[in-house]
Amino acid sequence: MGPQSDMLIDLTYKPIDEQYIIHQVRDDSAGCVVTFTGTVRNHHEGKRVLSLRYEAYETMAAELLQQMAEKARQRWGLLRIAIVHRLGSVAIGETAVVIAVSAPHRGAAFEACRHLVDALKDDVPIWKLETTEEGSAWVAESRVFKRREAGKDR
Amino acid sequence: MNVRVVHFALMRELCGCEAEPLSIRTGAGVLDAWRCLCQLHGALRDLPYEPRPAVDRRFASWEASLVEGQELCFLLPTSGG
Repeated sequence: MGPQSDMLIDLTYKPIDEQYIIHQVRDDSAGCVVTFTGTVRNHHEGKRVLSLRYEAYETMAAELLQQMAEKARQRWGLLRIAIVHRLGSVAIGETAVVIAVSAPHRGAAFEACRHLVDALKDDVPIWKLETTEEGSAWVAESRVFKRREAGKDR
Repeated sequence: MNVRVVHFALMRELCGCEAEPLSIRTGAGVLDAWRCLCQLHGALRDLPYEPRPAVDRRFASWEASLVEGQELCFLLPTSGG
């Protein structure tokens, strides 16, 4: 994020530097910075997770994150926003995503950060391939996809 | 006319490629393209979820019309974060 920009959107194959991101959203007009850090846990639905790999439709994901951030900035009066998501193989305990927002007051910042996390999980085309002792599977976590109806051709 | 379909994650595995050209009749829409894709890749008929279509990197409705050269993607449930 340059000095003129109030948004940092990035999909990266490198480890995420949380402190750098938090620093990027600091602003003299802000009363707070709220940060969400998503990390890779070592278990899922009772199974031990051995490894994780993220894949994205990168061009669409980046555009969608930009639009979501812009909408959130307008809705909650945010000052600066950073959304950085890791792609590729990510080790247990490592950071998978950081969302950081600054705002004049904490209420707006908490709400906006929560909203952005949920929106990212539901809509942004990023998928997680999870490998456990039982094998590998693409995880389905979004709440917005419909179960397929019998007899329907889509 | 021809459109380009890009695949990711489970869709890529089921279709066996990262992208493919799809030849559909002029004036066809997203649902026509999906039906065409299902004929090429039978495994798509057994998906537990309804995919979300995207045209040129934006979510689109099943009724949306397509034009020559557009990029189409059928997204399966995501899991970012």
